[in-house]
Amino acid sequence: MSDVPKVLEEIKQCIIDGDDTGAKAATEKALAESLAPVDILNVGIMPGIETTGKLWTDGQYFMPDVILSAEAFKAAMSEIESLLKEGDAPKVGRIALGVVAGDMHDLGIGIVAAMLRGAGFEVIELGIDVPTDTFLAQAREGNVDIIGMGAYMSTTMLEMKEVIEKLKADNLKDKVKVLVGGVPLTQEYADEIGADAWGKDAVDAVLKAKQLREVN
Amino acid sequence: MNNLEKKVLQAFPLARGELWLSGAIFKQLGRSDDPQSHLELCQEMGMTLVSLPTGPPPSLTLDHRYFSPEEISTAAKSNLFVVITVSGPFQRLVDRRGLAIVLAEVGRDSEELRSALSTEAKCLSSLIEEALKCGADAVVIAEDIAYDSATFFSPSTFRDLLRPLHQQLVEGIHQLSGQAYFHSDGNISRLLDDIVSIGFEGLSLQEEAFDLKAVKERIGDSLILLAGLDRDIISAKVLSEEKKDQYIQKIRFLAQGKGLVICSSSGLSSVQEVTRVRQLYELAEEAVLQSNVRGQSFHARSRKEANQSQ
Repeated sequence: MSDVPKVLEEIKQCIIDGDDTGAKAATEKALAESLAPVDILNVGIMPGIETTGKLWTDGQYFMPDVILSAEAFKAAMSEIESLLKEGDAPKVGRIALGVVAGDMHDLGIGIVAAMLRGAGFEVIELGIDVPTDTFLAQAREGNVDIIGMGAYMSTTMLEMKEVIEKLKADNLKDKVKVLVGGVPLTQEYADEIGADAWGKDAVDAVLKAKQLREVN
Repeated sequence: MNNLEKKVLQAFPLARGELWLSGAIFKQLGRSDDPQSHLELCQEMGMTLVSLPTGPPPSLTLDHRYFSPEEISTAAKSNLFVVITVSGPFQRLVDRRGLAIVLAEVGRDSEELRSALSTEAKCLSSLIEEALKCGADAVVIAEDIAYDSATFFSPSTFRDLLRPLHQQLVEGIHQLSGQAYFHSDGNISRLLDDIVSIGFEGLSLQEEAFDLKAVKERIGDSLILLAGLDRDIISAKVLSEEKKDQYIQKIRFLAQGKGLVICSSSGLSSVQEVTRVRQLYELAEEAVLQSNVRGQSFHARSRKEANQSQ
């Protein structure tokens, strides 16, 4: 690791620590030192968010830590996104992500989006309370590989079934994979409604999304 | 012995109650969603307690009614054990600001957050005092602080940030001769000892997130449990023999120790669910009565003790 420029270690550490101001400043510094945006991404930013994911999986990190890490990740990314060339960032897949209609919970989806980006996915954030038709439009016209749906309540998770049924009715289900997640969901429910995968939490959602795209 | 414990033990063989009954139920039944209808439905279902959510409704659209102090007074005249269900300080702040924002503030451990939580706790304390003076018997503090695997934040953060506020609220409830119960969705197993030592008398939990047997073994003699109805059995299209057996085994186990109020963690949202829960009440009673015949029920013994103590 001695070959890794100090500033990239700094970016990584700021993301792990959830220091958004530090992550942004360190990324600016890295650019000022003429480091390539792709190296900043692959050696500084992505290892940072991946480490956070591991700390979460190991039970050492809790939600506040992950949220702050995700914010630091976003701050760093905002500095280099426009500078990345075609082919710089790994193209694992394109995913449209949203919380289903009637559900205003915004916690999980932002973290999942950050984690997916950290894993190389292109994420289209649809937000909360997303109508069924918006998911369908993404499947039809958004050139996405995966539709990701979240629900926080046992009443709103029923919307997922409707989305999947409409995807089937519109012959879109073979075109996209469906990944579901959220507090009340179980693997059994995901199977019952015909989802392709269930993400137990943000880290698991990334793992399942990668499996759906057949990448490691 | 406290009030609910007495009521639970008198409600032979098992006590019943739900914390949230949705407006859809009353609409589907062709009844108005008012205190009288709530009391009538609880009585028709043989419930031991009626729960009246009170306080500022959360920003999220939840399909259950919030009750005024006057309505709590009316309910208190019934023969039911009247519980008011309120959002805890953390939940109130989350309702105002959003969970992601509050959790980020928890991560930053800002003074502003501590001050805001303290303000919420003070407002809540006044609300609780008013409700208890209106005749409520107990307070359920609903504080969603966990997801299905763990708490949102570490136990040490809970002890530092929220425990002192809950301690004050529980002490205030006890000073007014009320009882305090705690509810959280998600897995709060790492906080169970804290919940007991704060002085809560009962616990409503989302059993899908727990090893319920382990929970019962840890706190079964300290707290009354409001549990037994998981989402799977309430919403299953068909109640298979296997599901019935699992449910009966669970109820027999949970009914030991301090006592059980058969209850879901998420409330009921349709007439179909009400019908299913009635069926489950009967199943549970038959099962426990059969156990009593074989002399296996802790609950029946507890009931005898309760009668002797009267």
